[in-house]
Amino acid sequence: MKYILKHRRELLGILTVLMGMMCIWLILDKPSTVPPNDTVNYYLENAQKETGAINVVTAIYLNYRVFDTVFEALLLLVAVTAVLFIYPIKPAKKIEKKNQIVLEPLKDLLVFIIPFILIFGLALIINGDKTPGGGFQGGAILVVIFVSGYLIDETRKVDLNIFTLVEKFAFISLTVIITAFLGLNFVEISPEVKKIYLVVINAFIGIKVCAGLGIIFYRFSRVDKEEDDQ
Amino acid sequence: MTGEIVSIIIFLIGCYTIMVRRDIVHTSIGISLMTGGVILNFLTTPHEYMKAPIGVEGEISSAIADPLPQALMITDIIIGMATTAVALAIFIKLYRKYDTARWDHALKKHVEESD
Repeated sequence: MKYILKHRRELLGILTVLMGMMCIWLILDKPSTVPPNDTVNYYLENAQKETGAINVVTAIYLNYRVFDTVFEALLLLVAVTAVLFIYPIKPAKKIEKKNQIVLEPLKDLLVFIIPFILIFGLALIINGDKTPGGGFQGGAILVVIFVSGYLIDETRKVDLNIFTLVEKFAFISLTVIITAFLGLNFVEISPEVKKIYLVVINAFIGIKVCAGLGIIFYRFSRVDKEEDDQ
Repeated sequence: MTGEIVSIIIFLIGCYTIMVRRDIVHTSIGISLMTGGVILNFLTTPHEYMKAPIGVEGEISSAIADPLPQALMITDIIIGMATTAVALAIFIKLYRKYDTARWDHALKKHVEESD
């Protein structure tokens, strides 16, 4: 028993390597062809004319499995709530200059690059139904603007209450629009309306993800400084 | 094939981190690594080198990648991010209270305080 406790790391390492070898052996052994799958065939054949989305992945997560998306958005809201529960929002104030994170030349580069990030994120959100993109990816890219803004000037004051308001508004609109869309008869809606629905939902998801990640980032960025103030 | 092997290696590195390390930050990193391995496995398993499922109406479905795991993995990425954020927030609180980054030391201090 003492020997096992003393050499715990080595024994666990040997166990992990054995597990990995077994998994890789199982992979090498499996058949290379995949049997036909009715669900996938249905999605690939009918997604485009039933939902109006050229990207089948968007068609799945905004139409066939839209509840997944709603509860995923809710999960992000719950995570933000948990972070804000542990570290409540303090009134926004300007903090005096302390340690500079970014070197001067890098700041100019960040200022130059921000418009391109904005265009890239917006393009991903708006073209979510045609290209490999969507609300989640575009929202995550738009947060980079806030992160760059923090790196350029860390003393700028940010009101997190606006972020929380935007996130709540986006989530409620998302739920209302999806419920209304599901309440209508799915097949009888014209393709133009379906395309507008996809773009609008992607936009709200993008706003929601952007606001949620922004709250988490700014909350973590201020935790250290507030400790110094106390 | 390559993607699957890489995903298994990443997942097992995460497993090993969780089993061996008693540091809370290392545990969070291990969980993130395991999430990454799972995502990579789902995305690569049956359809490496296949066509992306975009604008594929009327094509042979055996040459197109399965869109369902891709749609589900978007969910997984957000869940992994949210759990990491909450775990790190709790970690900072715990570190301020017990002044240690390890599970066992924090537990020991908690027992001492409660006695």
